[in-house]
Amino acid sequence: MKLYNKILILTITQLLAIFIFGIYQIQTLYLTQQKAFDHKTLIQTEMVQTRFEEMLQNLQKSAKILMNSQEVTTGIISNDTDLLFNWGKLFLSSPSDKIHFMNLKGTVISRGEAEYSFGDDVSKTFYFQQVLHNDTFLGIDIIDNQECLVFASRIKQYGKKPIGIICVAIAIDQALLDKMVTGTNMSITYHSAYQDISTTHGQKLFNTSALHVSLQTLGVQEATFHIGLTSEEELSALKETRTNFLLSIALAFVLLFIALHIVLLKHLKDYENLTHLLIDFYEDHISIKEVITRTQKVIFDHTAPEVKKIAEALFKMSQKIADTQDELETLSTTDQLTSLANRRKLEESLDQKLKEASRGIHFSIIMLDIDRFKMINDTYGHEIGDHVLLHLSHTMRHAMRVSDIVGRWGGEEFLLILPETSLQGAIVLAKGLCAKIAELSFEHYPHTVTISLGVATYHEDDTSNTILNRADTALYKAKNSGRNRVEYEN
Amino acid sequence: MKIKIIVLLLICLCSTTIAQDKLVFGVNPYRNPEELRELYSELITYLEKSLDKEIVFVISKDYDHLVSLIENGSVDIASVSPKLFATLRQNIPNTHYLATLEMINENGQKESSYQGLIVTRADSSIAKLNDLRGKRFGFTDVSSTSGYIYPRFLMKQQGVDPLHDLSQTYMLKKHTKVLQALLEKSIDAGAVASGAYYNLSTEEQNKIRILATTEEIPLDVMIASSKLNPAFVDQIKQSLMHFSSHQTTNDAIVGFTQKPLTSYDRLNTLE
Repeated sequence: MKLYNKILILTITQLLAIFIFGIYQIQTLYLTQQKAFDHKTLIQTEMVQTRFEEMLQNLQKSAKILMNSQEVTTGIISNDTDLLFNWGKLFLSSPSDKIHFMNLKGTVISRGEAEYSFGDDVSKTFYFQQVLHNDTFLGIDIIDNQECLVFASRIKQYGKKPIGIICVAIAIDQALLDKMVTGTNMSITYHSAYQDISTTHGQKLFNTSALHVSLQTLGVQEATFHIGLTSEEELSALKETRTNFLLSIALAFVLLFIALHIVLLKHLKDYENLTHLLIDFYEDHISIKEVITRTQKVIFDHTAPEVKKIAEALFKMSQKIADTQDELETLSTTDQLTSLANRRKLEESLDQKLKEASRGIHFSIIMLDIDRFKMINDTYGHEIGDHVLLHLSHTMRHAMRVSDIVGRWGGEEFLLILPETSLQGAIVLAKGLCAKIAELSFEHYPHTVTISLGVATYHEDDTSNTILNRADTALYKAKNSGRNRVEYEN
Repeated sequence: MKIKIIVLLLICLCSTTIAQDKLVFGVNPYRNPEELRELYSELITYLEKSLDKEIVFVISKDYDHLVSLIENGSVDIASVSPKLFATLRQNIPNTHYLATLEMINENGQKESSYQGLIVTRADSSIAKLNDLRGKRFGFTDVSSTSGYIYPRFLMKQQGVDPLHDLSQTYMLKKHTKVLQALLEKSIDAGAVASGAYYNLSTEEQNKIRILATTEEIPLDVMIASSKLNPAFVDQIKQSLMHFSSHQTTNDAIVGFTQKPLTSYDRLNTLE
């Protein structure tokens, strides 16, 4: 498995483990919070329910206190509006409360909440009829054009003789609903055939349940209270947190994966490039020089220390190999005595020039031989012979142009390859060289030396053999014509 | 001046705690407590100074309550309605008559008597007292001279029996409340003192029509408990007779006068 894959799988496995643990934790927290939220909702629902029941109990309590008051009884009997008003007023706990005293005919004697309003007939109202039949009424009815929670009862003198009716009521309005749910997260709605009010501020009610109340509601059709939550804000916040967390995890996972991928690619690519470089080299796709150039580029381009170190090592190694190669190249192409190109090198160069010539770059060659060199060896020994060869080689090298290739063909024979040189030009150069050598004096050889030269120039479809043969033929001709002279092909 | 308003039922408790150098001054609840305090404030200040006693101002729960307070000596001096005084003279003959109040009437003149009115709304179909049959009627209190005794007398004179001929009668205690209830159409007609009517704004007066007017009724009476020292009672009487106010507002107490007691005894004959 690739290193890239190994690192990626290992890292992703660890990340996944962390993320799965995180998801598990947030899910556990969410479930715990949901349980707490449900419990809280239940408690608050019960709280609202209790408040509602207490409200009804307070209605009944106020009515009973007033019913049992001797003064109220006196007030009813004597139609003492002022006295009843003063008593009623004492038991009003909010502006929406109503306390009415009526006689048995249904005429209002006094209203605790409205000092100057009385004398009207309420005998046709539902609650009044119910009281006449059942003695008491606990329910919802319309009082003074307002839907109210009502408790009404007969007032009895000495607990026996009915003398009037008391009605204690609370208007079912926004204030009442607000009061019922104050301090809780609950909302309450009231629906009837006449009105719809709620504390929801237009929002939808969740987890709705009806208030458990036993009220007579025939006076107001379809009258119902419902409680619930307008928004599961707390739970929603938690849900949102959970979703955000999961999204963050997913995003972090993707980002980490991409980051890891990029980092790995960036670092491993350098190693891979170096590897490919070496592969290209041993597969002979690139030379050692190319390896040096490219590793040098890696060193300059990348600051990652480990990559740099490897590149530097590779660079130094490549340099050593290049030096060795150069040395071997030099050894294989250089004549050891004269340091001129050896025959192998000359053949290569000639082949190269022939290729170039096929593209129109003309050249000529000169084949030369030292006259009577065997006699120098035989007379003065090989050391002097080598001395003469070395000296002649040195002179030839300096006499020729830089672009000319001068090499030892074998023994006392030399080959000169003259790029972009015509036959005439080669003849001129050959004659000049011949004259120069003839005038040359040696440190350890007391005589002068002469050379014979054969010149040939490139012809179309020439091979190395054909051109060499023509030069060799010309040399032979110079030898046969008395030596120390230049001959050229016909 | 130091005025204390003791709330209704607490008066009995108060009387036991008040030191003897304090004088308890009681009044009927025929107006709001604030109005009554304002009405009597100058007089109380004057009496505190002239008698050198602190006066505790109390408002009874109702007319009967004030009677019982005077009877048991919880209240030393009181301003009572003429009818109440007439009743007291029957029940407690030795109740001391001190003086009759003089007030500024609606014309800005000083007077010691007033009139009771039977009123209805200006747009009402009731044109005369006989039309009150089957109507809702508002009285103030059964002990009120102008708010019950005289109006009932007037109705009876016209052959209307308030107990049987009216569809419903209400006891509203305050004259102003009778007028407000009338304006609110809670009652069809009512009985009030003339002062209460003339205290209304012109706009409100225009909405009300007077059906009948009673004869002159002596104004409220200042009385002293029979349990007070007669010499001290004389001192109070003298002080009252020397009281003179320069107030010009309607219904302000501006002085006192002496009236023959027979003018009050007549009220007992109006049943």
